[in-house]
Amino acid sequence: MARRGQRRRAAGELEAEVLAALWAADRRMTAAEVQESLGSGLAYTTVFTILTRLHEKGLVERESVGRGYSFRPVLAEAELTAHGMQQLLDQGGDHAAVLQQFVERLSPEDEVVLRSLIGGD
Amino acid sequence: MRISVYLPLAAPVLLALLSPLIAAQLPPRAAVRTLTASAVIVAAASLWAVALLALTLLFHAPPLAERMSGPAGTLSTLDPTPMGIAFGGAVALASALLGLALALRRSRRSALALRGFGERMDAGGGSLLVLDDEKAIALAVPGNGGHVLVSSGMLRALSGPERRVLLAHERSHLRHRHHLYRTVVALAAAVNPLLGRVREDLAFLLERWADEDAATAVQSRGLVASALTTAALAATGSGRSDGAVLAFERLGVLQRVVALQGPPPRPAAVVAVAGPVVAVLALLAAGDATLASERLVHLALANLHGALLP
Repeated sequence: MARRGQRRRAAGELEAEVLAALWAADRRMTAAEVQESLGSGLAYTTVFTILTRLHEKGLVERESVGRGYSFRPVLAEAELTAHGMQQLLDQGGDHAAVLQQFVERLSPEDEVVLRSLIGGD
Repeated sequence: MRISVYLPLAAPVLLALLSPLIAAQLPPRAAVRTLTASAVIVAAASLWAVALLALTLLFHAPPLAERMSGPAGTLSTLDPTPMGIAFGGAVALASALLGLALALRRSRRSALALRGFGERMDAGGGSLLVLDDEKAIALAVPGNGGHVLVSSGMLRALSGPERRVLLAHERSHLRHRHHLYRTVVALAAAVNPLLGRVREDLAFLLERWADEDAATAVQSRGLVASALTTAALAATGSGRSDGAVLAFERLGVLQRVVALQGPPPRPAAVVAVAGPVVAVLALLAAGDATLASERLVHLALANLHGALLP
C-alpha cells in the first residue's frame, strides 16, 4: 500500500530500486528481505513480481530456499569496472560536460563542515 | 565604427557578474534556462561584434585603402576605428572561432565515447547499470535512452530511501537532458571565455534542479540532504588518493545540503529579467553596429567603384 501522497512509480523505476537493493546487500536476499531493505512502502507481492521480472530479463539469479527463493544480481558478461569505464572516457572528449556526477569528493575542510551540519540535526 | 559595436563586448562581462546573483536568487530550473539562453545570445552577439571590427581591417588593406576612403577621406570620418583595434578584433575573432571548433570536436568525441559505452549496457533494470567497485560512484549517462551508472560501493553506503533519492536525482538529469544545457554553455564559453563563470554556476544549478526533483519524488527535502551527505562522505572516504577516478569538478555538495535544509526557492522578479535584459541589449547593440557597418561597406564600395571607373 503506497504511502499517502506518493505518486505511483513507473515499472522501470521500481526495477532499478530493487536491483539497487540487491547490490547494496552484497548477499543473497529473499523477497521479504528486499522489501524491508527498500523501506518505501511497497507491497510484498509487488516486490516479488519485480524480482520475477528481473529474473526473466536475466538480471537477477535465484535459488530455491525452503519454500521460496533467494535472489542475487547477475554481473554483466563484460564486467564493467571503473577502470574500464575510465579507459572509455579517456578516448577523449569533454566528458565532464556530459556526465553528471551525484556528488564530488570533499575537501578536508568541507568534510568537517558537512559533518557538523548533520551532527546538529 | 560606432560605440554600439563595443557594447556586445561588455555584455559577457556583465552576464558573468550577474550570474552568481541569478543563481542565488532564482529557483534552479528558471535560473538554468535564463542563464543558458542569455549566455548563448551574448556569446553570439560578442562574436558578431568582433567580426564587425575585424571587417574594418579591409578598409585599411593597402592596395584599395586609398580608393575606398574616398574624396577627402570621407570613409575614415565615418569609421574612425584605428587599425590596431581592427587587428585586435581579427585576432579575437580567429581565437573565438578556433575555441568553438575545438569545443565542438571535444563534444563530438564525448558523444562517440558514450555511444560505445552505451552499447555495453543492459536494456533492463530500469536503465540502471551497476559498476562492481567499492568506490562510491554515481553518474547519469545520457544517450542511448539514458542510463544511471552507480557503483556497488555507493549502493552499499546508502539506505533504501537514500538509494531512491539517488535514482530520482540521476533520472532528473536524464529526463530534462541537462547535458544539453551544459554542452551549449560550454560552447558559449569557448567562444567567449569571459562566460566561464556562467558555466560553473550552471553546473551547480543543474545539480540543484535534480536535487529539488528528487525531493519532490521522495516527498522530503531532508532525505535528499541526508542522501547527499552520506554519498559525499562515502565518496570522500572510499577514494584512495590514487588519482581522482571519475572525480570531475566541484559540485557544491555543501551548498546543496544547506539549500535543502532551508525553504524551497522562490522567484525574484527583478533578478529573473536581468539575464534577458543583458542579452537583448547585446542584440540591439549588435544590430545597430551591423547597420552602421553596412553603411560603411556600402560607402567604401561606392568610393572604390568611383575610383576604379574613369
